[in-house]
Amino acid sequence: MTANSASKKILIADPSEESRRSLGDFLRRKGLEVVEASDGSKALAEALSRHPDLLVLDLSAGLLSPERLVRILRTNPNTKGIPIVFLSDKEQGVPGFLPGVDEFLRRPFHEEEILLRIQSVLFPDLIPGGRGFPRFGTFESLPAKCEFLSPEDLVRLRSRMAEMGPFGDGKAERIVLFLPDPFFLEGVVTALGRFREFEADGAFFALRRKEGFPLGRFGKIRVGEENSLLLYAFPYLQTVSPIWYAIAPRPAGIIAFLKDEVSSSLEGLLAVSDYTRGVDARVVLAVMGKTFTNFGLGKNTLRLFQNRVEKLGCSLKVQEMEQLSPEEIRDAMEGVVRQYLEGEGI
Amino acid sequence: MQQGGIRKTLRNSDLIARVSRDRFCVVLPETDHFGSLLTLRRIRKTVRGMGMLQSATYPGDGRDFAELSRAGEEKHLRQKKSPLFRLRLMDKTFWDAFDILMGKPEDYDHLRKGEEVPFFSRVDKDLGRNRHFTLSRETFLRLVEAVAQDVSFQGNFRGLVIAAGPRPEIFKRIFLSFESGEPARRNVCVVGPAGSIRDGAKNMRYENAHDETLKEKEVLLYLKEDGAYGIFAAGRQDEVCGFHTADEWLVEAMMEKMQEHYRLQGNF
Repeated sequence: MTANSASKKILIADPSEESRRSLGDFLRRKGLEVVEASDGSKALAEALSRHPDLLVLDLSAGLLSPERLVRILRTNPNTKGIPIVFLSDKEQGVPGFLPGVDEFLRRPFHEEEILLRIQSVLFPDLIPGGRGFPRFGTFESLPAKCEFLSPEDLVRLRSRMAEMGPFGDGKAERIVLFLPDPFFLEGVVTALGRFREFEADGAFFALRRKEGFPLGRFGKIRVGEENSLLLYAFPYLQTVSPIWYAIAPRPAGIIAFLKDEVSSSLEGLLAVSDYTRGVDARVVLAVMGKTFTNFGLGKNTLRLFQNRVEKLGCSLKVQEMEQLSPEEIRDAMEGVVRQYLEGEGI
Repeated sequence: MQQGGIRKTLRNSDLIARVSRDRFCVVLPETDHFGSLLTLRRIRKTVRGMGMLQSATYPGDGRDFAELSRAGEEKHLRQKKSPLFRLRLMDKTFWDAFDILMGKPEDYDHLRKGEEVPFFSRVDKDLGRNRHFTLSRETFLRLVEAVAQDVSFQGNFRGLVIAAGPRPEIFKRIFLSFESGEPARRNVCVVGPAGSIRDGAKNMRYENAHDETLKEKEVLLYLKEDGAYGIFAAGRQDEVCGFHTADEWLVEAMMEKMQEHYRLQGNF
C-alpha cells in the first residue's frame, strides 16, 4: 500500500467468518496488520486492548449494536480517534444515520474499493483532492467534484446578493445549520466537500479538534468571484441562543437537522423558531429516517415547532432524508437558496 | 432647548430636523455605524433626559430615507425591550449594572435545578437575545472562541472587543489562535488584574485593572457593525454562570461604562 502501511493495524468486526477471513487475508497481503473480532463486544475489547489504527465494522456485528459500539468508542478517550469504515449488506439498506463513522461501504464491494476507502482514511494526503476529511455517506469511491448550484440559480443568486446584502455590499449571506450532534458537522463538511464551490474554513479545523460542539462558521459556498454564502453551525442549546443573534444576525436561511435526541429538547427547537423571527430565513427541516415512525421526534412536537415558526412569519418544510449524502445536503441547501431567491414558501 | 443642545454636539455638515413634538431626526453625512454611535454618546452626555436614541446607517439598514426611517422605528421597538432600559441601568456604574444583570447567586441554584427564576424570565425576554446561563467552562470558552473567530473573519474589523477576567491569558490565547495574520488589531482589548498578563502580543491591547472585582468576575463585550454580544459571568470551578446578550444597546452602554471605569482607550 505505502512504505509505512506495515505499521498500520486494522480491526475487522464481522460476524461472518468467511467474509472476515477473506477481507483479512486481502489486507494482510497489502501489508497491513489485521486483528479480527466476530461481534461487537469482542470488537470493543480488541479496540481497547490493541489500539487499532482503523476499524472495519459490519452492520450486523452481533450482541452490541453498531450504533452503541460506535458511541462507546467515540466517548472513550483511548478509542475516540479510531477511524471507522462501516459495511452493510445490500438488502439491509443504510441506517438512517450513524454518527461518528468515517466511511461507508455497501456490499457487494470490490476488494480494491475497500482498500481505497481505508487508504483515504489512513493516508488522506495520498489521495488526490483528499483533504483529510473524514469520509461519510454513500460516496462513489472518490467522487469527482461537481457543481453545487445550477447555472440559473447561480446567476439569480448573484444578482439578488448584489441587490441586497445584509452588510450593504451584498458580498455575503449567511446560512445557519442547527446540528443535534457534533458528528453531523463532519458528515456535512464531507458531503459539501464534494462540490466545487464549497470551501471549508481553516477555523473549522481548529474547532473540530476539540471536545464538544463546534459553534461558529465552518465554511462557505462561493457564488461567483466575489460573493459567498457563509455557513454556520450551531448546536441545539437554547442557553447559548444570544450568540446566534450576535454572530449570524439575519441569516438568509436556516436548516434544522433533526434526530431523535432532539425530542428531549423541545426548548431547543422553540429557541430555533424564535430565531427565525424578523430575519430573511425560512426553515427547512431535514428529517433523518424515512418515516416519522422510525424517527424519534414526536408528531406533536413537530406540529408545535411548525406552528411557532409560522406564527413568527416563516414557513417550514420537512425534508425526509434516508441518510446524510452529498445529494441530500445539496437538496436542502438548494431549497433554502430558492426560498431566499423567491422570498416565499418552498 | 433640546434641539439647541443636540446642535452643539454636531458638525456643521450635519442636519437636524424636528419630526414631531418629541422626536428629532439627525442626518450625519459620511458617517458609518460606529461614527453614529459616537455621536449618540455625545448627545446623551450633553443633553440630559434624551430618552431613547437609535441610528440607522446607509446602506446596511436601508437604501433611502423611508427604509432608514423604518429601520429606526424597528430598532426603537426592540430598544424598548432592552434590559438596559427595563432594568434602568443607564445611570448605574459598570459594576452595579453588572451585579443587577447577574441576579442573586441563589437564583442560579434554581436555574441548575431547571426551576423558573422570576427575575431571569423577566430579563430574558425578546426571544432568545438575552439569557441567563450556567454552563461548563468548556462551553463558555466555545462562546469566547466563536467571538474570536467572528472577529478574525472580518478582515478590516471596525468593531471593538473588550475581554476582562481573573485569567486574561485565556482570552489572549483564544484571540491569538484565530489571528489570520491581518495587520495589527488594536481594537481587541484584554483587561486583567495587575500582573496577570505576560508579555503583550503586538496585535492586541492589554490593560491592568487595579481593583479586586476582576478577581472573580468575567466580562466579554463585542460590538460590530451588524451585531453585538456581551457576557457577564462569574466562575465556580468548572462551571460558569451569568448572563449573555445580543442586545446592542446594552452592550454599547456597558462598553462605554467599562471604558470610563478603567479609562480604556477604545476606537471603533
